[in-house]
Amino acid sequence: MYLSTPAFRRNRRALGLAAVCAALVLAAAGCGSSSNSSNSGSSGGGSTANAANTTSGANVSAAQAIVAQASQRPASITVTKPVGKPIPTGKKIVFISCGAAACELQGNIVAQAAAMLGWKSSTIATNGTPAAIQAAYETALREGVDGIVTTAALRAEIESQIPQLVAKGIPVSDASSTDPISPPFIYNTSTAPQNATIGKYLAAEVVADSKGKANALYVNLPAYTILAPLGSAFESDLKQLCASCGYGSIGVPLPQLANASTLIVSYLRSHPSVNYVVLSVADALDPGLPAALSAAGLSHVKIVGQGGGPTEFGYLTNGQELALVPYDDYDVDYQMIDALARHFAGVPVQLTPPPLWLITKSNLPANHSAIFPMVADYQSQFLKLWGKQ
Amino acid sequence: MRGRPSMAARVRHGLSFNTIGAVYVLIAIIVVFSIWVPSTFPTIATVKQVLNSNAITALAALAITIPLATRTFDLSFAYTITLSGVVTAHFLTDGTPLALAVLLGLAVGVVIGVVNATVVVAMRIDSFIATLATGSLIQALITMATNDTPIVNVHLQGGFAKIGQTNIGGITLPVFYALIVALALWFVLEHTATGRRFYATGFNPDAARLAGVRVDRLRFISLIVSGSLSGATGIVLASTIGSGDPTAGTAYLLPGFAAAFLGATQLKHGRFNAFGTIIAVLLLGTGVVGLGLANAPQWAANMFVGVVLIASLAVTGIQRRSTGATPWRKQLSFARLRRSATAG
Amino acid sequence: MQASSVISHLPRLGLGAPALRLTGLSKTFPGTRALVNASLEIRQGEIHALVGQNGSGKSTLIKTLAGYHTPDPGAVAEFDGEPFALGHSVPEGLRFVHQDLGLVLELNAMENLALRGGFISGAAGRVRWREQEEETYRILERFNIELDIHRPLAEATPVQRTVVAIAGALQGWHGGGGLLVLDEPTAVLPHDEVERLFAMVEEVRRDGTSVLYVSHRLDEIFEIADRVTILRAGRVVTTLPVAEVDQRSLAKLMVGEDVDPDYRAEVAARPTAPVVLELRDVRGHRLRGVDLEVHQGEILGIAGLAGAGVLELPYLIAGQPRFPATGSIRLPQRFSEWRDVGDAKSLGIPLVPADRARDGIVAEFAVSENLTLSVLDRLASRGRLRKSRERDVVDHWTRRLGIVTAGPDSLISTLSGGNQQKVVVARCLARDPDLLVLSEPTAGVDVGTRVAIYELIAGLSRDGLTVVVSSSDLGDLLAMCTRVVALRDGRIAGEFAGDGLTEHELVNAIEGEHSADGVDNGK
Repeated sequence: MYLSTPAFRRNRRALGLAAVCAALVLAAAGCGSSSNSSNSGSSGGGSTANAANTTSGANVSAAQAIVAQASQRPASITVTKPVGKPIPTGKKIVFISCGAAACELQGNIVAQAAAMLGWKSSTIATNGTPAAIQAAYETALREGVDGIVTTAALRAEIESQIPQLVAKGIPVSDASSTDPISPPFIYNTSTAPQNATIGKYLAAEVVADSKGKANALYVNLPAYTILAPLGSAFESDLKQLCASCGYGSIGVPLPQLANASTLIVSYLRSHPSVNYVVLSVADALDPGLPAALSAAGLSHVKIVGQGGGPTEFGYLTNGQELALVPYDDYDVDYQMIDALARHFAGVPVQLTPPPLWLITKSNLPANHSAIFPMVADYQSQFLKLWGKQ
Repeated sequence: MRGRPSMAARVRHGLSFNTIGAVYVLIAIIVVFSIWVPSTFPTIATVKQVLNSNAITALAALAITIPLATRTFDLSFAYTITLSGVVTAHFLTDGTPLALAVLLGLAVGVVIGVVNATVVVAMRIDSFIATLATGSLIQALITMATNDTPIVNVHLQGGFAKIGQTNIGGITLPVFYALIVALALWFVLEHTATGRRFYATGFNPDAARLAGVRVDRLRFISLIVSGSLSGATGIVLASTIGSGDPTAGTAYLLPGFAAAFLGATQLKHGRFNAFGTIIAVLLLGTGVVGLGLANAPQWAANMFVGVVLIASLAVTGIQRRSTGATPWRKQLSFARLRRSATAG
Repeated sequence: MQASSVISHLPRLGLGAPALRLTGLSKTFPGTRALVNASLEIRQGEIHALVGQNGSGKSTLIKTLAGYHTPDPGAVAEFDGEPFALGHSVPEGLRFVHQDLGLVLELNAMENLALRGGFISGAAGRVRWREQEEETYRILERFNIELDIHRPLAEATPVQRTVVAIAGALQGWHGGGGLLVLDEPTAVLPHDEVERLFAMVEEVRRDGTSVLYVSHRLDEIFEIADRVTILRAGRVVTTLPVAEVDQRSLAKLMVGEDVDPDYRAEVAARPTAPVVLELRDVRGHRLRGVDLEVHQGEILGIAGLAGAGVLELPYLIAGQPRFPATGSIRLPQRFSEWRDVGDAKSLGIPLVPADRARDGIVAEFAVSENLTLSVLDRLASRGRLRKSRERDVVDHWTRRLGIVTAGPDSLISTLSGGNQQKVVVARCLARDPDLLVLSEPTAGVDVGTRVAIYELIAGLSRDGLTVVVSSSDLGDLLAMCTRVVALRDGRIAGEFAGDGLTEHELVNAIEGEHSADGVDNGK
């Protein structure tokens, strides 16, 4: 009876549509997952992804040595040469901010460093879009600044402003940029290659903590290409230090960022032997993650990551996360100002990475309600190099 | 007059595609994933994971269900979720006792609800635009309160964290909150005079007014309800993520509306309803979990949501023109807006 | 085949091929046979009426003609002698004006006409507005109507909109021939504006176009149509020249049993009963100082032309005024102070509204939900709606008013217009009021149910209910009122006892002097 009704005739089409759609999704996902390397834990696609072998060969002691060294708080800043010549005062500096809270904070640090050199500094906030960034550079040019400090600049975004900057001889000091240094840029730190060290530290921590029995999931944010060396360093160092350790990775696209913990939990459930989660950007990927792990009965899985702020420090304290290599706004900003100082003084710029520190509960500074500098007395060390002390 | 339809007819109607098409799609999805990842998907753990990861979305979608029943849009609810969480976090950081801080956060939701209600009902501004505007104002308040930085503090762990992070047998508390809210909404909409009047207000305010329904008062109340429920949701969310995050609620704007609208096509044929919304949330949320278990490429999740929405609506046959009910486009026509604005 | 194409070349003088011929038209839906072997023939240049109750198959026939339904196999259709695929294609000369007029009210007349007939555009699709304007004036001038073509049609009067709709339908069809189908064109027109429409229809016929005229209002059929086809229960009862029937026999053919279209209910005038409703110096948009006294148990009619305030007054009494108004109102039996008419809402006087679709029913609600909407508080105990109580209320009123439904949970939109009206009346009565106001109570209601409604109101009055009926359909007022007041230009221009009142007297009063035959005098 139902078969002859118009309701079924109408629904037949809809059912067909639904079936086709389901088939499409299946097919696409099927094609897709085979190209997603190292992830076929349960279907046994032939790779050794996260399938822990039992052959020995873990170099736990080497890992422990790296951890011991990395866990020591850096005693000195990475810049070493004194400037030597007088640094001109009265310079007008502008910090072009990406608009997010972290960038705002950096603006304050930059201003502080500038003040120490007798310079004036102001912040031009943007909302991160190319249009706003271009406008910020235009404003800087109009105001006749002497130098610019910024982060994660992209040459391609400011093509039309670069010739003007070069013509006026305005130096730009940068950090976390993927571009090679060329005029008007005079400095870059926290570069992609430098990030590899972070991967090494995290790999060592994982191996040491697990005593060679780690099976790690690396969670990447493919949108941030500057992190790529971090991921590949982690993978290669992990394998080097511990051939029997398991490794797998997933990439979280930015539109799915809100679902990151669900994705991680799903992966862990389908790969039950994974016992470490490595976050390429901890503060972006871990909201709600410890709670989700606990609810899914996965509290035994340990979390390490790059970056992190007061929330993550809190997680360290109560054992919800294991280790972090935070990003050091303070040293990085002072390094950028230092580069401008050398430029104005007429001496070569010193390209160095930012100081890195592997932090766990045991060596976390007591005051961690805000982010802190890796080098405790970074300020006086820079002042000494600048001849102000 | 012919009698009531037989029990068999009613059961058939209740199980038909028209009534619960989305449930059939959900069953189809469960079957597909169970075949695809047989070792991990068809387990209790999956059920729990789906429930846990969608509890907040469910709360958000339920919050706007009552205004939607009166054909009032509350586009500010996502910002309300954020602001109440931020305010609670702020006071907790200052050392305010937990209960008081939570009450203050709830109060934020209520106040926003009153503001929305005043602008929409008393000032007679179209709800879509009005709540977009108030949402923008709330966003400004959020930035003012947080300087765009998440508020994190040790006070946000401990007792406060228990609100959102405690789990009973692997099911987090927000799931239970969502269930309670759903039951309450279901009761009001189905079994009380007020619920009937909400629907009448939404379907035909002119006729409702003539029948003695206090249309303006109901719309006023509906916005206070959505503000309050969004406020409560925000506190639960802040507890779950352990911070007063200035962007916490934004992610729920589209899923909330999608689930509410999809839910309206289920169970009650075009009436916004609580359990239809729950079905919709589960339908849209199961996919993310399943795709994660199956290690599908990450673009699959968004594609999945789009396909599922279309399939569910096609299977249900959303606009039943045979009822003669006013189609959406006519309902939103300016003539109607003008009339409702100038009529009493 | 060849013979008919020869015939189609003959001059169109009422000879030759009919404008439309349908034979063997059947349409079966699951569960019902909406049309059974229907046939229809419309001669060239004739105005042919199609009448039938709700459910007679009238609308199915029109929709099939319009290509919305496909008929069962076996139907034969010819247009101007040329066969066409009924239900699949619509011949070029077959034009429709449906009941909702098919206009976009937010756009003006020019835009609406251009939407149907095409915009005059130049390079890059830019519309040539000046030429468009001229074209619009040209189209409309044959209909002799004053209309600002630049104002949205929402601001136009119903008759102006109908004119635009008809003009739009006829666009692009020149040189006579063809068939214009008018489906309930007067449903939204007050009775006095109907003359304007008839003039238009005559104009259309003079141009050589035939007209198929579908209507509930039997008196119109007699004024305008040449022949009439009666449908009942999906079958054609007969086709007759209009001169050979009268209203009563026509109604009988439609309903199948004897129905008195001139029905007069048995009502008793009670001039000495106490006053239950008083209005004093009510002024509003059209009302310019109305004083009124309504006695208990009477059925007071309010007659008037559109624009006299006939629509405004009932909404005002019910407390849902469309426009700001001043004046006083009181219910002397409840309290003696006068209230401002703007506070009338607090008096809670129920109203059966004129525009049922817009103000009367909630289309998405079931029959029971519509019926109980006004008395929900009575159905609730401890906050909870008792479904059993709801069912009892619905059963009671369904039986009392004889409402025909497929069940209390069926959607209200599945009911015929007459039954929907009964639900609205039931909703008002469920409040157990002393006073009931009705506005245009039989709009869109077929002749059989109309009488049922008159009987119903008369019966309620006998039981003690006081009724105020406002209507532009004089038949309503003559059928059941104990007393009628006539409104003219916003004031009361006459008062008549219901007994022995004639239409002629009433028309004179609402129109002023010297209109002997009900023709509209110079609006």
